[in-house]
Amino acid sequence: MSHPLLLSRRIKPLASLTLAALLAVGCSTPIVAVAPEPAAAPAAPLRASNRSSVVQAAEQLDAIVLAGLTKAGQTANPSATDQQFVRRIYLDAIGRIPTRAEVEAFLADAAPDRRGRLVDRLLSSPGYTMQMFNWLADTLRVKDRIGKRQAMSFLFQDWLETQLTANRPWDQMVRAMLTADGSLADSGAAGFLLRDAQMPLDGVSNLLTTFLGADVGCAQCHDHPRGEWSQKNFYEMAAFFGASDGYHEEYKSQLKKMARKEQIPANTKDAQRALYPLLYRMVDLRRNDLTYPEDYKYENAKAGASVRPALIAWRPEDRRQTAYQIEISDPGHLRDAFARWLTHPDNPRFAAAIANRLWKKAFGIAVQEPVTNLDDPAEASNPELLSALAARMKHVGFDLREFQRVLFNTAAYQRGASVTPDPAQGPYLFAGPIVRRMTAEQAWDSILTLAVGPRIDGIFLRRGDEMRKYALEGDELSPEAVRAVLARLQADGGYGKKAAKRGKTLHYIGGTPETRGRLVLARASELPQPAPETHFLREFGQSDRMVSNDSTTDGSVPQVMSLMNGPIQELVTDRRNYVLSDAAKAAGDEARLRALWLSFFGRAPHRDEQAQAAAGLRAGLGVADLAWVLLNHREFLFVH
Amino acid sequence: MRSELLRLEDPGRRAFVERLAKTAFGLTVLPWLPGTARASVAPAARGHGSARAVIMLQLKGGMSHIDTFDPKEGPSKGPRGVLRTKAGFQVTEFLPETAKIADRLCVVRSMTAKVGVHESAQYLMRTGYEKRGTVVHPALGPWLQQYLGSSHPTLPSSVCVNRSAGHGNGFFPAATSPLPILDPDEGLQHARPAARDAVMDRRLGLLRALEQHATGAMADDNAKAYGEFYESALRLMKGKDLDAFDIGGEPANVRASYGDSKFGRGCLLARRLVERGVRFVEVESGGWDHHKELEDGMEEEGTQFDTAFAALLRDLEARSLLSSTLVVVATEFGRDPRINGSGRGHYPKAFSCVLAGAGVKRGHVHGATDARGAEPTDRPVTVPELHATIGWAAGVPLDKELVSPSGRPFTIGNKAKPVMEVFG
Repeated sequence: MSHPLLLSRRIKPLASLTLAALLAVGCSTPIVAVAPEPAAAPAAPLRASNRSSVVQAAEQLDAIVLAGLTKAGQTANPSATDQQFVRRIYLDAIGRIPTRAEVEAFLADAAPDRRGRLVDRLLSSPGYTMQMFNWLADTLRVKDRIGKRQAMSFLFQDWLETQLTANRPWDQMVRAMLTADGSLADSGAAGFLLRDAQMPLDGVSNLLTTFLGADVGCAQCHDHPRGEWSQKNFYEMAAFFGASDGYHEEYKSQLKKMARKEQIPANTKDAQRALYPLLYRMVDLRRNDLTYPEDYKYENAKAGASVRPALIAWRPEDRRQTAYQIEISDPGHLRDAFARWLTHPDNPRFAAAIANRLWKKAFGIAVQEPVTNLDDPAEASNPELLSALAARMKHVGFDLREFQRVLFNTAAYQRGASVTPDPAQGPYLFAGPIVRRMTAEQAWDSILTLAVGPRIDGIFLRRGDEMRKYALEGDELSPEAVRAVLARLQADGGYGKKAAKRGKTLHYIGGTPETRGRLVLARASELPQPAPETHFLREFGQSDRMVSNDSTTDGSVPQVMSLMNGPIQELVTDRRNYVLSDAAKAAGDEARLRALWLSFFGRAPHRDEQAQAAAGLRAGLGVADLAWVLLNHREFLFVH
Repeated sequence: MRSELLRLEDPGRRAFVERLAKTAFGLTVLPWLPGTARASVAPAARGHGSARAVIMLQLKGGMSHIDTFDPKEGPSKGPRGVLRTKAGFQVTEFLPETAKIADRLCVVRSMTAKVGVHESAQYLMRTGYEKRGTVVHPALGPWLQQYLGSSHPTLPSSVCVNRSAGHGNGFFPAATSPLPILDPDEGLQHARPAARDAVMDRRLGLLRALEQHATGAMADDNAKAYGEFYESALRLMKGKDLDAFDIGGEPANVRASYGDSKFGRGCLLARRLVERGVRFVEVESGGWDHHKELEDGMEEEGTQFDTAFAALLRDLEARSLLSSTLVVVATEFGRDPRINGSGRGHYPKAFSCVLAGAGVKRGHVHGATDARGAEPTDRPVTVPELHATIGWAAGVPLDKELVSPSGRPFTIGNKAKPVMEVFG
């Protein structure tokens, strides 16, 4: 089979790196443009299904939302204005605010289906992949450095990005992650299981809550207090991974042995660095060696006995579904069997779990909260809606983009936003989407839109090229193979002292991002994962990627200090930047203010705002000061 | 209200607190006006109010009790031997500096919990409550502030070092949420105004005017909270206490004593903040999830902790702050008595925490586990009880309920009783 990465829009030979090129950039994170390249190839085209079928599907969901509201004696919010809609859809579909020009182009469109067409256009643009990468990176805990293993997951990230660009269906992506064999060089998808290979029970707990909304965390140690899952259930599920191992070659001692025998150069550091991340392999052993814990305290199994894999079911009748017809006799294929069950359209929770999460992404709150627990769908705020969403997800063949296309076309999504509901007042029934603070990634990407302009959508980080280049050929850690790797490395100048930063260098295609001090002005998805801990992104709540969905949108004093005084406000108030150059083209204060308002808020200023801002200008404030004010205005950080 | 929250001049603590109570909640919801609780408490029982400040060291990932404060022989024994201390109890050889100051410690060896999942266990240790889908509970710092009022006119009342702001104010006003310092070396960044005072004032004036027109969306709780953060930030920027966040002001020998680690620098920052009037400081140390290579991990994280913790206690003592500062070593859970490969799995059933300072017994061990370190066998202590104990030491009236905006009553430590035996 061809390497999955060959499908990538980004595959390009790595340009040779020179130290001079590194130094020329002059920033502490060296960045390098790998090759001048036109804007990225378009994402996979939207499904052939015509717009009217999308609209029909959206109307079907709307009827269920309205029925839910009516039953509770509530009414839907009025429709959002085009101005509200255009900002919201840019943020939700491509992860950044629209530019002034993009807002005006939309507002000038009088066609009745302008909203639907804008949705289609955005979902086919590279920003969609960036936005989805951020969203999945939070859920799948995407992290460059895992433990002490630098850059371990670069190839996993490349894989993920490629799947999103190709719009590979979710069931296929998940199956690939669960069944990948070999090293990261063999399959980037292996990074998912390798991440938790040292703690398989936690790994299983994570994947069950993430992919199914099966709340098994408690059952890892004891029967679930409310009786949903027993510890036996948990171990039986974990047993599907009992024969799998994230095998790690004892490469250090082997390299040293080779060096002692003078089969490879005495200094093994370069070889260690190049080979380390690729010596982890997902393998299936001949037997499943999971056993019940020594302190197992229930009658239904014996402590220390080996565990026979068995699938959980939410209701007895679930077991009659085709999904449950799997073969479990061969320990070498347990993961395959498990993945087939998990991703099967008949699996009672797989479609609902991802549909519920995507609904939350669009509306700010899920039909059933928390998204990690769908064990009792009757607890959903609108159970009919949850079931219709699951059905829609299956109907579109787990095509996440097509599913979101339907959501974005609903009248429910296109209504005015509600403020965050109080859970004590009963379930929220989707009178409209809820007001949200931008995610850290949306805020960063929006600020770059102001400072740099939309060309940030065309600058891409390449992560795993070096790793692939210096991968061991074949499966054997032999002296010949190591010498071949070292020769390739040597030809590029080796790691050496001077090129010590090599592994930390960021390689870009599509253009060289600008830098300001330590800040690299590329989109959040095209920066190290996660960003360094004092970076704007982390300050605004990007997850440290230790646990799933750990990002926050809570405010803090350091955040507002950063907006008032930090490098971010310098970017936004720089007269030569994108947004101020654009405003400078407008003739007269009124047009200039309108341009600024459209750029920051996606709307024209109200009369009073116009008057106050104009008075400010007369009193000596400049446009840069206005940019500062609009950045610090709370309307900016929020999605309405 | 928005403009009120953005007011530039320092309104003084009382006015601020009153305005906060009005804007954020309304007095009917909050029977306890911040700042009034302490005065109303009878001067009192053992340990009550002995802690003017609390420093909580959170060891993220789950500290192995058996390889630190509760060493075992036999099958559970870890990679290192034990050290005797003058306090009579033993710690492992991973903690040589801590061994030297053991006579200041009260080790709780009988901690027990049910949650073995990182995120939920962190939540429990920070809030004293189990994680629920319908309510977000406040962390300990905001709890103390809500009962006892602000600890300083311009400095925040609680700060969390080496972690972001999650697990914060919960259902209390956003202004009580801990101020996060992600890197102690950098301290509080961006506190210097971006422009001259006159320009900043004009910008803020326009901002205030414009926000008055803000639409309904700004009525969102989170959007309102940002108004409060601007208020707090402006007071800090105008105040004279910013250098409390700058550990660069510490002499080289003091810096060196805390060790060359982020956690060590965090502990030093904590001492500096407490000295200046911050009530609650949490310092996080990451990397304790030693499923494998426990020995290497303990050499790294364990040594950093050992150096910093001992230096912190000595430093507090030298400055006569230890008697009024409660230092707590907390973690998510313990680690499995069974060694699996080169490490240990999660183990909530038995683990250790440590208390020191502020009227707590010195050189004392509270509770015990069995020979394997698998079960508490004497005086088990739950996380809510630990919270109640900290709240008691800080002077909180534990029986007074606070009502959340949803109308539900809550207490610090969820009605658990403080562990009175730890107080001397």
